[in-house]
Amino acid sequence: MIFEEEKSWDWGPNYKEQIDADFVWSNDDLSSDESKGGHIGETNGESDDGNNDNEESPHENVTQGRERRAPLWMEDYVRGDELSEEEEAETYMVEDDIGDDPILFEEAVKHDKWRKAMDSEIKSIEKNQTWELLDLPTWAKIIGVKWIFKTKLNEKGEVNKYKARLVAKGYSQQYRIDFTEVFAYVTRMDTIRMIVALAVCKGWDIFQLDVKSAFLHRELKEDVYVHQPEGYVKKGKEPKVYKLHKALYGLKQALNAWFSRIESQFVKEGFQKCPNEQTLFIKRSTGGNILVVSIYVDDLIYTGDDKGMMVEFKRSMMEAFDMSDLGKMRFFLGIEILQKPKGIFICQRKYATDILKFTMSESKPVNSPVVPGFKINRDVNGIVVNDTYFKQIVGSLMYLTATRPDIMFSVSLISRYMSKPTELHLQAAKRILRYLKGTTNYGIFYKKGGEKTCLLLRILIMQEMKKILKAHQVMIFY
Amino acid sequence: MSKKQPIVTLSTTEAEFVAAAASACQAVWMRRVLRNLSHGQESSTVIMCDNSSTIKLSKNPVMHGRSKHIRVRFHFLRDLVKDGEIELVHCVTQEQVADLMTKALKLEAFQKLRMKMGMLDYSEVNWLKNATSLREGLKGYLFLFYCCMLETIVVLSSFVLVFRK
Repeated sequence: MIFEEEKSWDWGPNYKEQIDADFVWSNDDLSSDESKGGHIGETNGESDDGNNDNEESPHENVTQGRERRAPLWMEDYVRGDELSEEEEAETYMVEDDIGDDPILFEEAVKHDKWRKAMDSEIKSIEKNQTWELLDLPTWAKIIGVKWIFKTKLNEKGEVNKYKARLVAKGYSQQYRIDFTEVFAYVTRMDTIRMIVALAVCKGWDIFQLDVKSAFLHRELKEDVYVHQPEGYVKKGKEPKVYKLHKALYGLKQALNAWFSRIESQFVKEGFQKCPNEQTLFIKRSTGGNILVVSIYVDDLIYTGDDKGMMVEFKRSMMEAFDMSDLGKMRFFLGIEILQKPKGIFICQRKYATDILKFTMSESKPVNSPVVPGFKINRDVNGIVVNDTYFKQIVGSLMYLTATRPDIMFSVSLISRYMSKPTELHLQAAKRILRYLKGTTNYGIFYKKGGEKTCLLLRILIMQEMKKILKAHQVMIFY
Repeated sequence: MSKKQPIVTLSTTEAEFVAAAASACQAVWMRRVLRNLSHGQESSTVIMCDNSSTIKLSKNPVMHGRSKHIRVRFHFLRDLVKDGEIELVHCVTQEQVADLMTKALKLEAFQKLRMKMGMLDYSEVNWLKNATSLREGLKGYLFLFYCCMLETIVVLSSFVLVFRK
């Protein structure tokens, strides 16, 4: 799975239209609800408010006197309905410049490439025997499905392939009714870096596998019914629905189901789970050779000292799942990996470029992320800026620290003021972005034969330690 | 990876001590994972610390009067040091790489530490390879030159010897 957050979801104005179909079960009576075609509010929680607005009921006079208040727990959220169109687009950050992927099915169906992508997705679903067409039992709820279109890019930013993904609208599932267990492990960034460091130290190569439609592999325990997807409604069977045998993307239990599936596969293969890191699997052969595998949802990276074992592992995994072999690890979670005879270099230059694209593409680079001796405070009287924008910057920079320890300090400095950012804080953020502009291509180089893994260990440790020390100073001042 | 300190500390020594305890936890975890990957470390993991009082405190409860209020949970660090899992080593502030992540440094210091941390530009990775080979090449030349010089000296001295006779 390649992480490109800004492209994966679009919560723009179009979202409203998509929602209509999903509240089918808000009334028991199916047909009457659809005829109403009620525009239901932006967020789930407001569904009641929205319904009342659209009904031209004679009771309106009665309800007018009452002030409608959002529930108390909504206070922490930014509500979409209070914003104007432009503000809304800004808030949800519709990325027009990067992703010109279609959002609606109607747009996509005009293009040949997307139709082909959808065909292959449906084919893969049916090949896995994911669902069967049935009449909807009277007691069952139905979950909507939606097409997501995405152009997959490689590390150079060239088009890799066009991907259409059928997702279930899992947000309407309710705990204990539609699902129980949702927890799933993901690998820590530390572990990935540790594997890289280990590979450098021992002179191993790291390889990568990618599972195609990972979530379609696991049997579902619960009964889930979904609509027939747009464009693929079987003629003459329109009222019928699909009962899912396997999980679809977007279902709440999909991740959990997938992880337990792959875990059992590894146990079958004779792997041992590392007790200190749940996503790390280790296999030792009788000859004392070792194979290390790390799972990040549907991406696998593996390394080891025996070529034969790795080939064998790849073969058996390809057999068990529908996988694509990506060869040597080159691009993983937005991190670019260069495996050289002298060592391994990791950087996130594409990710850094993307951040600059949505924030400041035209700026002069500077040499350091913060002005030396720069003091920052809460700035109570400052001019407040758009906090969503600020949070987006901080969030994306945070992920960048995976390979950029040099901006660690500055990012954590500005992240303290996320709740009420002012011009001052935004300026500090912009300074980091300007620094980034000049150093987009920077990354960590793990040199072979140097201080070995100790270096990494030491860096991480000191990092944590000193950061805490910094917090200490802050606490004294406050 | 980093965290706000959970308690208010009264001295830098105490703060460093608490921080070292927290980072020791991370180190212990990493040691365990690496041991699982058959890359266990026999010797203790080194934590560089620029506060010598903290180092002393990690070995022995010295300065009791000023450190007796430190919570017992942070003395976990002392156990780790005693067991040989962790070792605190002093490091002068100028050499402390982690300062990069905790201070708004001056430009020279910033760039120096960044280099030390192993951060490079994408293009430098290839360049680095050339640089080392260039250096090796230079070494070779120097060696040749050296040999030539030696030879000349030998030849010259033998001439001198012959001349004397």
